[in-house]
Amino acid sequence: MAPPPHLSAPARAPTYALVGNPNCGKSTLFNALTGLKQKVGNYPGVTVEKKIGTTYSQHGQPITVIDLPGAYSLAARSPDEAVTRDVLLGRRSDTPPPDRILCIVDATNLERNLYLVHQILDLGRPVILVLNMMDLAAQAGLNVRVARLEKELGLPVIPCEAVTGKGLMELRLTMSRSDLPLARHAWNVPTPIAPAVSELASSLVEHDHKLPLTARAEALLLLTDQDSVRVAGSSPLSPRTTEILQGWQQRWAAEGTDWAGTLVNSRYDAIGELAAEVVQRVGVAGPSTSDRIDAVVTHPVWGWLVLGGVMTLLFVSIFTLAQGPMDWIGDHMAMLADGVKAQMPPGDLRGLITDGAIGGVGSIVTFLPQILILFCFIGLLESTGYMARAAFIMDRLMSRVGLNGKSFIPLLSSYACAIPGIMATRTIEDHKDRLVTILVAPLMSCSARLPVYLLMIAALLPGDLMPLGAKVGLMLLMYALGTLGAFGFAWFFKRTLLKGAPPMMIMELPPYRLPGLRDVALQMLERSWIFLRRAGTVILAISIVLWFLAAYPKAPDGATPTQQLAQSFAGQAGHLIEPVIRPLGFDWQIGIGLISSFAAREVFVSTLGVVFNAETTNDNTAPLRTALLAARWPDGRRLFTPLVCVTLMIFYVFAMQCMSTIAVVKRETNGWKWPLFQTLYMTGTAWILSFIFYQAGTALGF
Amino acid sequence: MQLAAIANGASGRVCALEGLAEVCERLREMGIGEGVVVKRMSGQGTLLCLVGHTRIALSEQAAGHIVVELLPSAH
Repeated sequence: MAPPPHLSAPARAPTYALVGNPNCGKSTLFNALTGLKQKVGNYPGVTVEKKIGTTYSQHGQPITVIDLPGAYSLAARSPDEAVTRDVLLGRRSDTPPPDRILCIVDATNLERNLYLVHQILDLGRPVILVLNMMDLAAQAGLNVRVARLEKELGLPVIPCEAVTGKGLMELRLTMSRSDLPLARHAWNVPTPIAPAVSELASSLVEHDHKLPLTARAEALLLLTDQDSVRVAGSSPLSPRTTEILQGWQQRWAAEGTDWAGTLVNSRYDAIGELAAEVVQRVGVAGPSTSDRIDAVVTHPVWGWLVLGGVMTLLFVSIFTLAQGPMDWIGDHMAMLADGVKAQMPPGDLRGLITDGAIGGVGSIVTFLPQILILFCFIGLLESTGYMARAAFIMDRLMSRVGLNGKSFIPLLSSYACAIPGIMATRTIEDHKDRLVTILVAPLMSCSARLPVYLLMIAALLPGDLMPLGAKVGLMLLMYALGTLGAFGFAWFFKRTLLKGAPPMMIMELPPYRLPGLRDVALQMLERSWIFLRRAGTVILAISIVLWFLAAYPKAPDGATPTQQLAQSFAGQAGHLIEPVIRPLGFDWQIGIGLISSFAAREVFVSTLGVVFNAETTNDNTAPLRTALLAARWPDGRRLFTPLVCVTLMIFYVFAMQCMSTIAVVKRETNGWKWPLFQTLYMTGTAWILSFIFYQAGTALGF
Repeated sequence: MQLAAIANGASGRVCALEGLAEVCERLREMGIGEGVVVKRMSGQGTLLCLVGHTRIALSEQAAGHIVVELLPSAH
């Protein structure tokens, strides 16, 4: 059947979709084609990144390229793969189906990569096949006969090395052609299922208004799509088609035949014949570099040592390299606030700008250097191929609590900040595993808790006589407590609330390669921008609200900041929650600190500075420490006893006190249900554990 | 025998895939279908296998879907 004319010879510049397996160099090719001309967004309703870029034809005409998420098959197993499938099948109203498809395959692994290509050829759109990693294939002793492949498939095949840019010129030339041929794709579906395919296809044309060619491809897909992953924003099947599909599935189930398996095998048979023609093995290659590295990196003993080393390096970098830039940002934010103060007369507007907006946003921007370093590391680990090894090594441990190795990186990232950690859960295919990871990620002690721990340790172990070891030990204990909590709750949730199949990991380990610095840099920029924009807007709004709560109602003229705060809404709220936090040994003044921590946990330190009227900065908390030690209950008892300090730290380990995290969880889970649940369970646990600890401590006479 | 039962370094030819249909299908799509030779590289519980030129990590449960016949080590 001839395709509609617009498919083969579009009048406007055609839109290309870039499709390929994960790890085949798709992002590198996309970056090489489009450079900085990229728009990164989200598919509405799904947390899958939508990347659209512009490249130019040989005549300088702009060509739109959509980078679809990596997929092994159109029978989707994750939200990412579901988006790829739905865009290609024209099921998404937010993204029109592309005119042409750019399939990128890894030449070292042609058979497996051609499986997806085989499904895509069913779609009947013009396809350009990009053979990436030709250099690695040659090293592995493989000779891919490009001309033969071109002839067999009947479509343009461009050999390419996306990393070095080799072959890009030819690719652009081909993309500029107005007359791309349709592939010679003769593939006979196994006879016994042919009636099912044609019945489904005609129902898709009639009831779902699909083009006949796409309908056949979709019918084939429906028969192999066991438990199709549905994502928001994609149009569902019509009831009639669903009925026909179920009818056939029931019939086959009754007969005990596995047609899905047969279909996959018959595709592989066709691909196997093709590959035998096209791929020549020249000589036997010995163990590759990747084999030699893997012998160490995935070794039961050395593997753990390497992973430990990488993690240590990550932490040391986050906490040391970031310090300078963080101080610099902090100082400049303070200078900016001082500058505004010098220019404006005192008043509410000035307070709103300096204390509300600059102070609040400054507190989150300060974390940018840590976030950048974290994403740089993640980018390097991903781009070299080590990330998959880390997941492999951690898988056994993670499976003890019901998660798989892929949850390890998000949890690790959350030690810096839960926001990028939660964003990194997007690579987890299983919906329940992903949700559990999101729910427990904020329990990993993030760097915003650090100033609170430091202040409490300083108040707890006064004098510089205490050995450093005790302080470090207490700090590590808090980190351990959070980590234990995260794993404990993951175990609990996987057994109760989010009971699912045991974790099932089938993950390809890509060959090692030198990192693409350009790709890493691009990713760092993108992710950091998303972080700044999302967290920044929320933080700005919350900071203004918190500023208002602390600034109103106004105290009479001449009141000190301490008096002002005491009678403000925030102060009243502190009094209001005192009955709830009193059993934990906290008074209303600590209550104000707890409330203000919702902007960002480290705001606790500056709030206590105001509450106890102590000049304080993040670098120098000595005056605040003295003020805390002098603080008393109305009956003259000391407020910050060692027991209260530790209780407060335990509270901070478990409580959900971060508006930005709540906002990101809401985004990632598409609703308020899970962020609310998370806030309640975490804060509830914090209260209960603090209560037990404080009451037991009091009973024991501490 | 199950893939998990062969030793690290040994190879097996896939005879059948048994268990959850969607896992079997994904294994097939990843190139682990009947007749394919799988070499177990390393790992305990979670296995690292070589299929053609691809290294694939399989969790214990996923590997449990794969039934292989042991190939003589000279193979």
